[in-house]
Amino acid sequence: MAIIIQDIINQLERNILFKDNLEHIEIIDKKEADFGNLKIKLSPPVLEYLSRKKIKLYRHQCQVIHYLTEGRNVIITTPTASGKTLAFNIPVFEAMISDHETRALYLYPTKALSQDQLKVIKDFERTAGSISLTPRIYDGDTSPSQRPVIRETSRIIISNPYELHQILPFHSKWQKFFKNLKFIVLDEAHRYRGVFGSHIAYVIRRLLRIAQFYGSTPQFILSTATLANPLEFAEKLTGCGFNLVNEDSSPHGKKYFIFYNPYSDGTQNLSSHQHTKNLFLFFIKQGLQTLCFTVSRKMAELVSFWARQDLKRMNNALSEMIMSYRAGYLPLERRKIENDLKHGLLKGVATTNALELGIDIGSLDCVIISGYPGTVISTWQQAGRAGRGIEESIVVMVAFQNPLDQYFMKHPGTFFDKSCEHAVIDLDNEHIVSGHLLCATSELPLIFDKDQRYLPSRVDIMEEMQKHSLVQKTPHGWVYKGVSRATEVVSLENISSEVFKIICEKKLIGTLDREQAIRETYPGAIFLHGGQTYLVEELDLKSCHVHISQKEVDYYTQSLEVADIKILKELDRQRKQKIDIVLGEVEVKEHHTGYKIIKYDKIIGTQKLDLPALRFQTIALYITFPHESGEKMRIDGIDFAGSLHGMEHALISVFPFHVMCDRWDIGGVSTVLHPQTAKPSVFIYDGFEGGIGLAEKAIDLLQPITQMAFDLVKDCPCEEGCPSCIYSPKCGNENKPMDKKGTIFLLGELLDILKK
Amino acid sequence: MRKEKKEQKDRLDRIGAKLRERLYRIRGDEILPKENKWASDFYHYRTDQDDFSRARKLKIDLLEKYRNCTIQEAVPGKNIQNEKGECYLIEKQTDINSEMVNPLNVNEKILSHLRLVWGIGFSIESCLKKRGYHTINDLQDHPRFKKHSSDFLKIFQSGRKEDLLKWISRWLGRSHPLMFLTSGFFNKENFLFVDIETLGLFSRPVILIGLAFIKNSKFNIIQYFIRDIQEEPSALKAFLSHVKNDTILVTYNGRAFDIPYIKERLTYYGIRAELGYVHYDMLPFSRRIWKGRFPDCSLTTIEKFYFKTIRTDDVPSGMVPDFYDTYLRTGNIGPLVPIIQHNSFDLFTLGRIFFTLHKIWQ
Repeated sequence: MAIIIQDIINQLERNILFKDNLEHIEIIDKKEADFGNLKIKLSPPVLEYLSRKKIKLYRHQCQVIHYLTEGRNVIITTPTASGKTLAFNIPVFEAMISDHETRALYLYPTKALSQDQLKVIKDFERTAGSISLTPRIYDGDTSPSQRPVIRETSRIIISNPYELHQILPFHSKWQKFFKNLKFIVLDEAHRYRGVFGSHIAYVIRRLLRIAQFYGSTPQFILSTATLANPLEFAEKLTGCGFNLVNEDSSPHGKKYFIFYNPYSDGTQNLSSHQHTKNLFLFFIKQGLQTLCFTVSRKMAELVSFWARQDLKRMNNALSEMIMSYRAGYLPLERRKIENDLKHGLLKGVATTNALELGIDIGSLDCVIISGYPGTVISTWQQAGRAGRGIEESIVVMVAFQNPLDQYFMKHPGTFFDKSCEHAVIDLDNEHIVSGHLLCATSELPLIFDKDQRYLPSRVDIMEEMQKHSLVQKTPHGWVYKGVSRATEVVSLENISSEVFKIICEKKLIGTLDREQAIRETYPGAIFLHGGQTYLVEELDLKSCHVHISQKEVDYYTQSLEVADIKILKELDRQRKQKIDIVLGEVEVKEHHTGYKIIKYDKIIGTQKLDLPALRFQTIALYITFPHESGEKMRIDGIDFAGSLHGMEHALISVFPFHVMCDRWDIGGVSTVLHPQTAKPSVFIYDGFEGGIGLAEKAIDLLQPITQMAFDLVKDCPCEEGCPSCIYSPKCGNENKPMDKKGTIFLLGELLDILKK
Repeated sequence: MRKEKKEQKDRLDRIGAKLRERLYRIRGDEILPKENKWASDFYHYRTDQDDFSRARKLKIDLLEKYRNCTIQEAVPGKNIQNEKGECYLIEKQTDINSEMVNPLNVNEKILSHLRLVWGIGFSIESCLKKRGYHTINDLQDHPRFKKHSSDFLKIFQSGRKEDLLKWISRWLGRSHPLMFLTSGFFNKENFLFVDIETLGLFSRPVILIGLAFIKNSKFNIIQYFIRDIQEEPSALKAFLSHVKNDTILVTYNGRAFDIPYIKERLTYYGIRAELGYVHYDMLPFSRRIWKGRFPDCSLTTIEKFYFKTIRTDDVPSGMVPDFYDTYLRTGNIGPLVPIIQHNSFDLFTLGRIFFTLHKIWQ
């Protein structure tokens, strides 16, 4: 096998279709396993399991087991398939064997992952023998008649954060479970970031408060993908201190990670999708079982369709061995594809990210990632699908014209270097805090003297809520008295309590915050949900409803926005020479003036929109320059406004690589004269009511962000700016004015100052 | 600085207002507790428009009628105090026909019910009876049912009524007359009739705990009312003082609602208590008798159609939180007067149903 992979790489390098686009091939060397020694004695059932499965523990697994047996909290950040699950399951099982009352709660962000874990634990139970863990899933699908049985008898309960949020007020029915709760496992915890993560952080604090009420102090086990700030993240998510295990000692085969750039010379003849299809075909014809990740469901179908057509024309029987996979297929169809993949009956599958972790398809020879998926974490997770055990494998990332895609093509080192992605959790957003304080009072009377370990002592919030008859101060603490269930008004994915319902054929398919509704579901918008495309028919701002219908389209839409910004309060100011870097509370007025219709990266039309301006208070970071810089640049024939504008776009486009978020989660404004700062200013703000900690984190990371923006623009081969560097797809001013030279100059100036 | 404080306060005020608004919006379609299988026709939680405007008018009238009235004048009672604080006690006494079935008859009925033995269904029972096996005692001589009948007799003779009740409910169902008639084994004075009024279906304060018992052949009604949310723990504690080791609970849908609700509130305040005694929930029995004959089986309906008494000025239970809120805001007890009355009527009707069934089913 090893020879073949090397051969294929050689062929690729010679192939006229591909060779010019191979920007970089990173060779990740084969690594031998590094086994560890356990300092503790395992119990007979666990030993039985290990010997039957012929498992020898790696060094990092031993480390996890040691920490956990010592009673510490652990965060594990080793890659997928490095045996994380086994590492934390062993100490949990050990505890269960030595104390028959011990209970554990496993939280998973998706159902597929919950099912996967259930299988693993059941398999352990069976293989080890003589141990009863009765693992069960407890979620929205659990039947009411089963619920009391699970609460009473299951020792490992697998659930999700949404369910936990709803369970907490019913804790009196869970007494036995909470009393004996020793472990809380948060797997795939990096998904608990941003708005969602900030909510989860409070759900966990509510859980701890209740556990404490019943006399238990559970230990935490977090498993995440590689993060730049694992310890800070774990501590913010749970409020507890952690030990980090991050050195992978599992073996893996040699991997060729290819950066493929259809825009390598600045222009392109074929679209990125056509290149993707050609690569897909190439690998399949070489006999490699290949999985191709695409950005949309439509593309998954097109890539597999085109590939099949090409093969049919050549009368190649392989055409029957190519499929697409996505959410929306019937479960039976999906199971069949998964099985056929696992058993090698399919040679190529094009898929959306629906084929996520937790769905068992085995490993493949080759993975194509068509378009940077938005985070380094998901790129590695998709790449992790390639490589069986220690065999060799290939991963290809096909770049789109976006700034980040292009940046990586030009600077592959940044991608393979230490992680720069910071997962952000904001414990200060008052909307989120208020909601969870309300939920907490409905669970147990809130007494700040006692509860400040878990919840912030925001008496001011409680007093306002008392005015609205939601709570009441009594000698027994703050007591809940709202008219319906508190947990119902706190949605874990939204910030404000003004939540829009998305309705398709009278069925509720999701919810959005007001801001998101206006940005993403304006009339005429194409809305992506679960891999399916929908057309927005009506946005009813009064009743907070969005009406959509299913529609198969091959285009997408992008709204255009212009924003005004008013500073409310300065929170922090750093003055570096004549440049000020400020963090402040601001009020944003966002106008969504129209939208573009885009087909295969080309704009095919623009429509006007008539929507009221979106107003919200949030946190922004802003940089102000002295007036002299403008004058100096004007003399050199540089458009100053265009330079500030370019800088704003460049900073925003590299922002998500440092502070993990969606590019649409942040917004920007640039102006040569802001009435309040009275100076040329660039603002970057959190696109959520109350802010969610993005701008705040970015202030600490401003130097690497600026450095990356600077390199991005400087190294882009274009003359005057392009979609790969300073053009933004959502710019409401049609990317005008724009000055690339000035952008480089300003970013350089800022960088110099930050470095000093 | 002051301006900033004001802005901060306004912002929190807006957050509070939005939360309140959503709570009200959601309340409209509040789901009933899942485990309450009778709920669909028992609680009319969605108060319809007619009821709503009638209740609103009633509230205005009551506010007018009881203006400047103290609680003592409107609902005579007294302040009580315990370790958890204070609450308000209202006591009443009425006559009731409290005749119960003779325990010997119950014994006989149970023993002649062969289907209580494992493996015996309708057809086997009639065969056995034809062949002269009339009581479970007789089955002791039967080759096949010897063992199973003695399993039952062991429990029957042990005197542990909880186990007997469990057995009967398992073989015959919760609503079987025999199940109810076992209440004849207990001392009249040990029954505690319970009915509560709350601010919602879950996790909100109990505002009134009503209970009743037979003493000196009279039906004694005791109500613990909370004049403010802070009095709830005291009322719960006062309620517990009536619950002894040999207390038998009697409720109407209390298995699904009242008792779990009280338990949840006790846990909320960290008060440890056991309420797991023998419990007769009268709803299934009432349904067995009256389902299909009356529009529904709520206490008020049975009262109207069976006991032929009609209540006036009744407040739909969905309006209770609103009326209580008005009372808290205005300090005018008026809106609560019918709620307190409603509760004592409910207890009285519950008592009457209980003793009536003794007559009907004996």
